[in-house]
Formats: sequence, C-alpha cells, structure tokens
Amino acid sequence: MIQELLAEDNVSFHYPAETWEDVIRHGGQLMVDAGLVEPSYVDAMVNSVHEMGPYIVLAPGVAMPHARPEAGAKRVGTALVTLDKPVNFGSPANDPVKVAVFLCAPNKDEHIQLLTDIATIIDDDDFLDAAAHFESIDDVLEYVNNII
Amino acid sequence: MISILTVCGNGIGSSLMLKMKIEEICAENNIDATVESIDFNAAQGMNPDLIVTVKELAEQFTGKKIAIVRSYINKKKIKEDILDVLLETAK
Repeated sequence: MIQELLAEDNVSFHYPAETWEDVIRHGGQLMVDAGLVEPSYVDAMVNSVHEMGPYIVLAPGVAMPHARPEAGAKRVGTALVTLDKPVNFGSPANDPVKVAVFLCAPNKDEHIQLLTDIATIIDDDDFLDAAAHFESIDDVLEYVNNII
Repeated sequence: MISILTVCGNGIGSSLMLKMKIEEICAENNIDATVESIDFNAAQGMNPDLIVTVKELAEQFTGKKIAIVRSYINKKKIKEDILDVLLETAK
C-alpha cells in the first residue's frame, strides 16, 4: 500500500533540520500541501511529543510522527523526510534521528496495511543505509518494492 | 482468555503495530488473548489483565499491571520482553 501513497510531493531528501520540531513541521507541511491533513494536524504531531515524549522514535534513527485522527487527518497518508544531519528527539534508546516516516489516518481501521508496510520498512536492517542515498521518489520506490 | 491493551500516545500508530506483533506472539505460544490498541488517556480508565507499552509511558501509569517493551515493532525484542509475563498472566 505504501507504494501507492508515496509520491513526488510527499517526500523530501537531506532536509537541513536544526530541531525535532523543525523535522515534524517540515514533513507536516508536505502533508498539508498534498491535501492529506489540515494544518491543525501538524501542531498536534508537535504537541504529541511535547506532552508524551519521544515515543514516536520507534527504532534507532527512525521517527514516525503522527497524531490522532480527529486532529485533522483527511485521508490515509504518509510522508518521508531524510535529514541532512541527524537530529536528537530526546529518545535515549533511539536518538539521533536520521529519517522520519509520517503517518495520518482518518480513523483506526483504514491504515492497517500502511502501518504494516511502515513496520516492515523500519524493521529492515538496510533501511537507514538505503535512505541515506535516496535522491528521488524513484529511489524510494525501488527500495520499497524490493522489501514489500 | 486474557485481555491486553497496547498503549501509545495517540492509539493509532505505534500501539497498533505492537498489537499486531503481540497477537502473533500469543498465537504462536497458544495464549488465548484479546489485544486492543488504545491511546494513553483512554487507557487510564481501563482495567485489562495487562497493559503493554514503552518505558516513557509506563512511568505515568499507577496501580495497573504493566509490561514494558523496548520496541513497538521489533518482534524479537517484544517477545524477549513480555513472553514470560504473557505466559504468567495466562495461567
């Protein structure tokens, strides 16, 4: 499913972020521009980390920013941001973050396949190395099609 | 039948991934369980047999049976962290 949801307008490579909030706002803006979420959803993703900590850093080097459906998710979607240099999110186990895979879903059911795909990608030992060399949506899809 | 809640901040991402992994682990070990994912705030009012979450969130629960996982997605780590607790709870 993730192959159909990733596109030119929701991926960004080597983004020069200074802070974790900058990372989330950059990916969030891609989602707003792509019509996936309302601007309120971006604020909710940031607030989620402020309120509950960096649990969205799911594995070494990888964050999955997301918020609740009612925060402004319009449809099931994702976005991918690779970072120019690693950024700390405050996660003792999994900092620093090199890649962020965003998630939005309008309810608790429709995105199960997307989540399964994201879990497969994050769990892949080669993901971080591969992501460091992503330069285009074609690179992303070539990698994804190989493992899913 | 034991009831398990997986908890993350929003209830739609990490906790759902964890729910899927725990269902696999239970099935493989013949543990009869219902597993639901839920957000942190809603979980406060629930009383399942076991709550599974990560350390950062576990510290904010009191008076509930909690199992801590290091990862929401790595099945091997999840199994190492909670299989004993699952088996104990299912007794």
